[in-house]
Amino acid sequence: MSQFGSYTIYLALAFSLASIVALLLGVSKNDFRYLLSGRRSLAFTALFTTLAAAAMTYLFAADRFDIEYVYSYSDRALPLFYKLTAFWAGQRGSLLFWAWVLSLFALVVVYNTRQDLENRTTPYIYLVLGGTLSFFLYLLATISDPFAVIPGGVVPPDGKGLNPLLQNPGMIFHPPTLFLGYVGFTVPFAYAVAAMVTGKVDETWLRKTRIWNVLSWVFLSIGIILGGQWAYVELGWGGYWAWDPVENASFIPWLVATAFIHTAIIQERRNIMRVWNMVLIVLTFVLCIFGTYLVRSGILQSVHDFGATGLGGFFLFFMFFVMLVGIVLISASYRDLRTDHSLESFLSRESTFLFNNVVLLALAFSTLFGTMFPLISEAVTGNKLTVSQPFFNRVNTPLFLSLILITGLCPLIGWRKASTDNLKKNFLMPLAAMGSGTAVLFVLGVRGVYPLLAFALSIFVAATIGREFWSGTRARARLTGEGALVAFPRLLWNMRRRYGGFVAHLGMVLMVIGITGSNAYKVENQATLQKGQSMSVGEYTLRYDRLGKYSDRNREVYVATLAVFREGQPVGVIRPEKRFYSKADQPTTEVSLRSTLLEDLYVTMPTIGDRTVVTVRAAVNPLVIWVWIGAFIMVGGGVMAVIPRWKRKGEIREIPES
Amino acid sequence: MRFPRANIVLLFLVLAALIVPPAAMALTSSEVEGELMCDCGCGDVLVNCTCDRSEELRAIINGMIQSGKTKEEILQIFVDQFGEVILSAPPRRGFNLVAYGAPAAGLLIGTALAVVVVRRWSAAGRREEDEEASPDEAVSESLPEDVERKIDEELGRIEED
Repeated sequence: MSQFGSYTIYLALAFSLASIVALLLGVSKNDFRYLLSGRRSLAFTALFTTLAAAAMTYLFAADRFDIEYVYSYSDRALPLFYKLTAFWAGQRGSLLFWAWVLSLFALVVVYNTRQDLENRTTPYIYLVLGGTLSFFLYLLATISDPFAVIPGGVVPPDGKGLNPLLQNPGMIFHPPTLFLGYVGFTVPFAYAVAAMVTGKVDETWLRKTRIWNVLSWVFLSIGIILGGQWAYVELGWGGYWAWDPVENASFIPWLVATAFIHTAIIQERRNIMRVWNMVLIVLTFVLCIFGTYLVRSGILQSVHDFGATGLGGFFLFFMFFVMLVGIVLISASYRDLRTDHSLESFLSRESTFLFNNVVLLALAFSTLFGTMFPLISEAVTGNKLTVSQPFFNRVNTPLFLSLILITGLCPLIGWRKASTDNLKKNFLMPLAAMGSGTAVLFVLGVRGVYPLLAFALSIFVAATIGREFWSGTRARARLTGEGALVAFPRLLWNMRRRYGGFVAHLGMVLMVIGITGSNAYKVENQATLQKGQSMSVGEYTLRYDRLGKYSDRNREVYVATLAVFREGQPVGVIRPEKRFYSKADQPTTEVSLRSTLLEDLYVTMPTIGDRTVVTVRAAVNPLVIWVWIGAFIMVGGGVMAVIPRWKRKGEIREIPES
Repeated sequence: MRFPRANIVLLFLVLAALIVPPAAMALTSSEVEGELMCDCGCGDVLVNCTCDRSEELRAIINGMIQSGKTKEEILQIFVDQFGEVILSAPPRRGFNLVAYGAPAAGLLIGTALAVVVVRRWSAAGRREEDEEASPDEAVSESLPEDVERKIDEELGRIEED
């Protein structure tokens, strides 16, 4: 089966290269047969990468420890569930997963363009997809073979096992969704390149790739959020975002992609910012490759260094190549891309979109610069440094606050031109809500400039969104005679593209509230307890009742039982664990959570001493659940915005006269 | 239509009240841990790390706090022993100022560019308006808001089709 896997990779590489050759011949000779051949080759590439993925899954399921990759990331005691997900636990499997998903996306593009081969852009779209596939398949076929067997024909009786931190349900979906996001942006990039090569740089490429743009952004968002959720429940430090280099590597393309999605709307509506959108999609694609590269390159110390090897040079070359192609194409097609930009007014929604782009890119830049600064500093001064959470919190918090402010301002300023009267009328309610809401929070004891500003701006944005929903519902109710309760959901559904964006912004507001609450008002305590002793954290008292032990398939687990009291009243028990995996040097702490809409009680047991003495670390994280609820709503808004409109069966449409 | 002056004044009063510095509080271990990295190789800030080594470092920090050392003194002891790499953020001096200043510079340059671009575009828009303006169009600018919204919604519907 290992040989079968290797052969499928070789065949996939051969077909992807063949597609490039055929497409280039087809374009240069203007011969339709070559183009058809190139398209078929892409389909065969998808077939063979699928077989390679199936072979890898089988090898994990069958405990084939003669395969280096399986030996490194699995063992016999590992539950089947995790054996299958160990596929993407290391660098080789991740690359195979990248190539497989990209080949399937290429197949979808091939299917979608089946009637469109005469279009001049189509062969170039295939070429970019085939070229990117060839890069990843080349790495898999040469220096990063996931099917490589252990040298000398030795078959170890058991594998090394999967990193205990990866044995969490969150890790099943976090890497694949992140990769779906990364890989997804290859398609709009391919369309953008094809548009520039053929000179068809109007908004057609944006319209055709809109669903790819938004869904890739949705998957990238889900991937980042699941990573945060995994960190929260698995790493045991009580937070969900640590500005780790690899977290940053996924966040930077997300920021640029968010900027792109916003300005794409402007191009579709006004046919402006065409050069800018090309720059953004090239940047997004390069940063997606950068994200993949940073995870496994080992150039920066990270909690994600699960299997770094020397692929850095290849990725750097590929990134520089893509950047170069992007710069050359944008420069060459600059005249075609340029339009006679004009805005009716300085104060318009279009201009707020531009300022939103500035802040998003400033955030991307500061995150990238901070992430790379240890390398820059060492190169310039020879001084080794660390740039971590406190730096990013200091530098990025003001930028995030500006972004929230713009998110609130945007809907209040009309498209094209805002009149002073309209501005006054639109700002009245949100400003009043912000002022009174902030005053109430202040009276309730909320202090600190940043938390109060974050909450105030969240109220402002929520009020602007509420105002949009209300005025839209009222207008619909007046037009149709429906009641508000019927008109509101129908308004959201019928105009889901417009209101999906507002729903996504509402989700973002809830996330801001959750992030602010859990960071600014977290309280924690640590105590070493004997049986019967208690500790307090916030309004909670924890009484240590007993320490138990049980064995699972691949681990021994110590579990402490603590009775929880809130303001003196019993509210349940909490059971933090310490797990000793048979194949790991370090034990892991398993978090025990009591989650409510107001706060999370977060308890871990860092150490177990002699005679059942335990050290317990407890924290109260206010509002943290709103991070997950907000994220869910934000992603839901994105999905809502791209749900197509179905035509009813039998719907009669007017035939145009000519 | 009046602007909500009372609310704005209230907001400024609230913000002004925030300038009052909080009362000095006793140094906690978490405050120091947030400024240091764990040296176990995990790449985590000490306050976030859960390994055995982090517990040792916490015990050392707690000992220093109990002996009356200030945060700065404790951080200096760690820097003397491990070098600046043990700090979770670079000290604000020398070349490190580039790290702190570059994002702000980027934002300022970006904002300035955006202002220039939008001014240029809106100037072009005004020129076009002057050239093309007619009395009928001037009337259409002052359509009632409800009508504008209906038109906007219908346009949105057509777009989605």
